[in-house]
Amino acid sequence: MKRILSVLFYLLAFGLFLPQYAKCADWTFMVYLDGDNNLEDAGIDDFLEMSSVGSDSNVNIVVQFDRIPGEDSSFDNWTDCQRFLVTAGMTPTVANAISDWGDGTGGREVNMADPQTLIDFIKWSMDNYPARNYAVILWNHGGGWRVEYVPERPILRAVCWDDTSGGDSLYMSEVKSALNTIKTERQQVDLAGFDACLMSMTEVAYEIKDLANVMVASEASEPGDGWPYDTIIEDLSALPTMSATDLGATIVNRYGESYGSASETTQSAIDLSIMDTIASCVNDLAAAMDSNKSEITAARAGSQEYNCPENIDLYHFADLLYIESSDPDIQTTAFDVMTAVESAVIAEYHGTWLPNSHGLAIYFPETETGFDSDYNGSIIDFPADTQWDEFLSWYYSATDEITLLTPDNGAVLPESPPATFAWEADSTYRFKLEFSPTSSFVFGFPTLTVPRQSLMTYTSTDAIQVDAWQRIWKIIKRMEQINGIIYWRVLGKPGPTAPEEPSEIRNFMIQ
Amino acid sequence: MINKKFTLIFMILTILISCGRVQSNEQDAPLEYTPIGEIWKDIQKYENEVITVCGRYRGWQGGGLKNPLITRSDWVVKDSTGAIYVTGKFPAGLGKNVTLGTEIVVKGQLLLSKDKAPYIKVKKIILK
Repeated sequence: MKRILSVLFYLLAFGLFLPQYAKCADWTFMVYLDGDNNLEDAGIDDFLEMSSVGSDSNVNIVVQFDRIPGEDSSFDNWTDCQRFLVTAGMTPTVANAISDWGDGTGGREVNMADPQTLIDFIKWSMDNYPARNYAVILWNHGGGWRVEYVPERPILRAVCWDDTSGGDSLYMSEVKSALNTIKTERQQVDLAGFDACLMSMTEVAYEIKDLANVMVASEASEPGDGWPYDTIIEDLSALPTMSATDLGATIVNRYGESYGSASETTQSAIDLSIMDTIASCVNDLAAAMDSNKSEITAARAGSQEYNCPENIDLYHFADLLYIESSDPDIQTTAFDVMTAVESAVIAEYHGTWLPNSHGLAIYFPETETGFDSDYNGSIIDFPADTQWDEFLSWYYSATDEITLLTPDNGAVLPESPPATFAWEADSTYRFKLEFSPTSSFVFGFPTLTVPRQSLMTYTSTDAIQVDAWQRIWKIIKRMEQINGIIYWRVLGKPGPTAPEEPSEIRNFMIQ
Repeated sequence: MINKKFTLIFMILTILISCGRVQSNEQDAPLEYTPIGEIWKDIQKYENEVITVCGRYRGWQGGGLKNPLITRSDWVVKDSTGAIYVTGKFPAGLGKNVTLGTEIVVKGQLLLSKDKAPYIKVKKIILK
């Protein structure tokens, strides 16, 4: 009798559990669709792409869609925020929206840039549409670890701008905080996607490395149409048992098909479990880069850039360093960075107009002028845990002393050629050889631009004519008529857009 | 009195010249600015032409201006006659040297989106 009761108990328990388990889908695909800005049109298009397939018993497509007045007026021109379980053929109208968010009220105005709004949406989705796997897609503008400074909120900006909430945005630290709350109070999300520009950055991936398994994002700006949700969801519905890794690869591949090879687009899926390794390798590379500035500058100048010129492809930079550096430590650590990036990138696509993209960008403004002092450990984790910011600081402050060799002070040069000017410098990208009748160089006499390839020595071939910056030819001899002495110095440029650093000043005479 | 008049005329001319043109670093020829309002009046005239406009950086705040949606990073430049979207590289140092309202010069090709919305494909940006 006891055994029968026990069996009955287990059957009852299993019976109660079974329907619950049966209701559990394979995937809940959450799209945090922030159309409360100038991308509202694109948001509606993407919603319709999702509803061209819709949810099924294995895949829940759940959307929180915030709209804005004054942009797109279609579908009743509602302007607050609504939640949808997207079904096949659904249109984004209030009538089709969820009427009760669990607190007795449905749609309302929200600030999509408030991390609590994101937390509420993910919790609600997980509670009402349980699944074995969860994907969270942040849909909107994006700028990597930072894009735009607004004086009222002088800290980093990241993704999801809400124009009707004062232009607020979700900072990367806020995304991290929200996903951490979800991990603590519910469970870790399997895939975190950014259907937004410029988010596939080392710094972004590192920030959420412990809070999701896979990140999908783009190094470059995304076209207005963003991800092709119709084909992505078709694939997911056809194979709902796919893993987060497979879904990441699917998104990348479908995105690539959508825009084709002749485009300026990128997309990549990153295994976030490798981000610690990447950080360690970048840290070692940063520590190794304490000399040979010219080689680093050359690698930086050749690296793949994006719309935001402060971002470069990490792998490409390391590859160029590996090829061009004469320092074995830099070569070794650069190679390790390349290996780590290869391990982390699950899938990667780039159009032919961005040929040297490999999946992850890193923050490296070409000059100190473009460097943002908010790139530090108090704002995001990557500079806190690596020496990359220390390297940048060294790079911008490292000066390259130019030593003039000949002619020396008071030297007399022949009136007819040849005359040789020589100097030494280690790491300068380009030189300007400058002459003036005064030591203050205020007269703006001609200069000669000398690329690094021919550095150190310039031998005049024609009565010491020099090519001015503005391509106006003048002859140094004419200057002699002023006071008999001609002053000279060399200006070195550490990078293509860096300010020029002058050498000491010397003088000579012509007879 | 004549000196005062001359000074006044000189000052006015200086202001007009400085507002009307800027010297490029790379070319000696001064840049002629196209008022953005003129583009909207006759889009066909400027289609595919390389133009230069001078206005203030407005980021993503188009104020209801039709977004060509070439990319999600497209941004707006606005002068006293109108506003237009720009696609391509951001101004260097965005967030530090360039913020909302910074005056910039944008040189680029005027193109039309699939919805016939004009936009500038940027070739060069100069900070004024």
